[in-house]
Amino acid sequence: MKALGLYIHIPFCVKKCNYCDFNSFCLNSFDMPEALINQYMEALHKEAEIQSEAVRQLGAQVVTIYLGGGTPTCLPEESLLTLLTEIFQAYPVARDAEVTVECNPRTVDHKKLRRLRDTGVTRLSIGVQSLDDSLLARLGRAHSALDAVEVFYLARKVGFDNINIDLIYAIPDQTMKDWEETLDLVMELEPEHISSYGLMLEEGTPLWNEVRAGAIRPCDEDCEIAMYYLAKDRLKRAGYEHYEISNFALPGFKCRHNIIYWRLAPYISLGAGAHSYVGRERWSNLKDPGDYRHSIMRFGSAVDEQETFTESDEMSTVMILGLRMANGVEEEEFHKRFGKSMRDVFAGAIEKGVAHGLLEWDGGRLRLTRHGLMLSNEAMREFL
Amino acid sequence: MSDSNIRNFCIIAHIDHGKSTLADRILEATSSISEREMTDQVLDSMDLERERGITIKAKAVRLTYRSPDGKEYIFNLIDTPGHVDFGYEVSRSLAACEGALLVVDASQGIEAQTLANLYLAMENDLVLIPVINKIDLPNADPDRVRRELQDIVGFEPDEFIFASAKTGQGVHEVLEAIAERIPSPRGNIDAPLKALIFDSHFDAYRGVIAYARVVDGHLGTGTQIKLMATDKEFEVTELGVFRPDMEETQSLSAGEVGYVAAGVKNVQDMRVGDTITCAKSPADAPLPGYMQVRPMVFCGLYPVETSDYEDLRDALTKLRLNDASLVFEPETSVALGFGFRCGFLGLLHMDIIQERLEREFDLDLITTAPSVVYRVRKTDGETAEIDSPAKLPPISKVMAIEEPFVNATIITPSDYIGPVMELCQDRRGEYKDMEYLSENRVRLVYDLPLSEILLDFFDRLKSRTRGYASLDYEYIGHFESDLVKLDILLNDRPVDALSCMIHQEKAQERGRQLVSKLRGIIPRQLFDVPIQAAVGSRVIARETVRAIRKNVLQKCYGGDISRKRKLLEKQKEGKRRMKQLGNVEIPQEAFMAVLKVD
Repeated sequence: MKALGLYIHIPFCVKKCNYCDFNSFCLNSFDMPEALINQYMEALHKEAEIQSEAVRQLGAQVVTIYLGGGTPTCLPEESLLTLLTEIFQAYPVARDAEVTVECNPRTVDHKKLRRLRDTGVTRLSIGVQSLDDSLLARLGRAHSALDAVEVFYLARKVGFDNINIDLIYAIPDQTMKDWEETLDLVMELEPEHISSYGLMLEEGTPLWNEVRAGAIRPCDEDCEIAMYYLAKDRLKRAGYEHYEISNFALPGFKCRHNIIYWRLAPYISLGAGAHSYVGRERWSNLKDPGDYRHSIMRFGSAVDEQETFTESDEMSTVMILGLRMANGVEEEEFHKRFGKSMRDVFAGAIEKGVAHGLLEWDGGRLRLTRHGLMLSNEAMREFL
Repeated sequence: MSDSNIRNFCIIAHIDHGKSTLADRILEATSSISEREMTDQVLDSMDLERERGITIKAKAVRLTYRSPDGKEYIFNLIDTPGHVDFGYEVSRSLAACEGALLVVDASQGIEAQTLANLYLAMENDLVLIPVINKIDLPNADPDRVRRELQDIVGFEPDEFIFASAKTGQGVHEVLEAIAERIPSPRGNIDAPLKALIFDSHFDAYRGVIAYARVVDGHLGTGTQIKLMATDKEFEVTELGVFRPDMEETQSLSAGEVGYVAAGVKNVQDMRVGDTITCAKSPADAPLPGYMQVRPMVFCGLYPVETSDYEDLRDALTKLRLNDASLVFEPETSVALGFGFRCGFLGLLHMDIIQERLEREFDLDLITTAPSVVYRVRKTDGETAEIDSPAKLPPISKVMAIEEPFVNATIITPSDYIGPVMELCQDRRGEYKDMEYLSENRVRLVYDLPLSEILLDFFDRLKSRTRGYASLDYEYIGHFESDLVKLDILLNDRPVDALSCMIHQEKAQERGRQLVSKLRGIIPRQLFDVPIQAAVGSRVIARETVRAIRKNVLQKCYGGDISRKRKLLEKQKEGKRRMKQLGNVEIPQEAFMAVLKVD
């Protein structure tokens, strides 16, 4: 049976962070947040129902579910549970499915976490970002380091045995020592999974504006690179496998949902701005929650952009996504999928990447070298 | 019609002093064109000319003027280019006239090129009518400008016409003065044919169209003509006058101005400055002053896409049909591949050709830094002329290098004498003369190497004088200079297209400037790229473009896949537009960096 990933987007947050350019909206800036949430959820339920028909017709089975945002846990407990319950009922969900919910400190309590766990959520992803209060403030996070640690222990207490912690480094004014301390503290918590991202200054965000105005200085490149490799080496020593450019996991705890993306395997997404990929069709929904709701309620669909990949598009995308993973792209798997030899199709790109020390062969696998991790775009664009 | 009614004249003016506007007013006043046809600045027919506010090619228009006392005149207004690059065409236009309107901006005063053209007109015995224009402007000072002109030329106070071409004030006085003061042409209709070609253009159907002033004799359709400089013979297929569009007539006689077509396929056979005579009974001697125009500035033009090479050749061939002063020959560069070495009259001419190639022929070009023609005296006694640093013989075989010098006239408000002299000195100028044109305007004369003028001299002059200075120059000869070839090495390999000739004393400073400029332009690569400036084997400056260390999209999930593809595609497109030099990728603007250093 065909395996499928399912993503659900909740575009709301308690507060918009200083660095964030995602499709999320601050609930407190609306007069009637409850009404807004209810309307959005109504549309989401409708889309879920419509898409479930399509999934059934595909004869596919949902093997991973991922509730992301925004902050899904900023939804009222009942809304969140109703949504999850309906998804479980409407979709053919595999018995051992990985079900992840993203949450931020101060949006969950003991009861909410327990009920999520009881409803079938198997994996919790916590937006910790840093364990330094001054850096959290710089990022504009709505919580303290202690809040984050408390949530982590709470999650353990209600029985979550697969927890991810999101971290951000290369924050303006962050020193190597700050970063080391955060890593040490996180390792003491022993989460099963860690995602660690270099801060991206996205145009138009408050942080970007401050840097542009010269009010704060961005982290210098050499420092960022050093922080990256520090995390890689420290976490490896603590038993984590560095299995994707920015992701680490203890054995058996890689994020199955995200691996679907990196393998360009089929996934369907629900909600505003959500992207899907099934059988070389790519489409995305309208980004604005209001537009999305309106379109779903009126037409049963909110498709904004749609494109059909050619075989060559799919081949190059398989490469640029697959190379993100430590295991790289397997020659045999590529051949199975396309009936062609990866070495033939991408002879030039591979030769160049290997010559520059960005790519290497490991048996039948092509992957980034240690040096190539931070320069992956240089290698990947040659596959386009 | 008797030739006593004919008045042949031109307008001498600086850019922006209102020549084209005055010409338009004259055209309107003589009802030569209807209002419907009236676009601003009718005489500048190329878009490029209108955009830049300059007249590139001379034109001629035949007008009918009825004076208040009822007499009818034929006016031939011969337009002249306003830029130093086209000095030769100006001199030919002047030679076709008996008089000139000297138009000077009432707030600016006379400028260097105007002064040069004014002297040319005086040498040609032209009657001058001083017109002080733009008197409607709030900062106009017509009296000061009048005194200045009186001092320079010795005009009488009552000769001046105060005008505003914009409002039309004074235009009728100008027309009357043309009729009254400019003499009718003196020519002998019965003498052997002599006609001066003062301009030409190429017409796809009729071949070369020569713009000619008949001095003696007459020309008719079917006349077998001979061109006295090239000795080639053709039969006249069509002739006529400009009104301002071409209007066919049966003949052109002594004193008249018009066009001649004789099925000439090559613009080189019917050149500006040549004399047309009758093949059967030719004149004894041509009209004075024919000179073969020599290109002064050379640069390499290379297609960005190597596959456009043939298209570039076709485009250059087409442009040359209209422009005998453009020369080109194939050239190969290690860095840039196949292209052409092109010669131009000056920098503006070069700019115009480049822009026309890109605009009219849709070509993407890389232009190398302009070079003058050096004369190299070799140890074996031979002399070689080189128009590119790449052609310099091995230094062991070079005895001496001569470079072209010009005599430059600069007119500036006296407040800026210091900075202007400093600039000239800095550019290896030799002081020749200084003269006060009025209490606060000065004419400075320097001999300067042409190569120093090519390198943003005019921009510097303008910025040091708040835009008030003007410049004119003429070639005076080649003289020996202590020159060296400055090479640029990328990743230890010399890049031929970045080499330049430079005075020994300036090599160090310029090498440093170039290397630091290039460091800013050349993007980081996967390895360190050393940039060096060297004279011979001696490295005089060095910088390094550090290897790129980070280019990664850290977050990539479902929604980011199209974003990631777009990002990579954009990066790839950026790479595609660069030139691959060995294993170093160089953006196109690097090749222009040699032109402008701060």
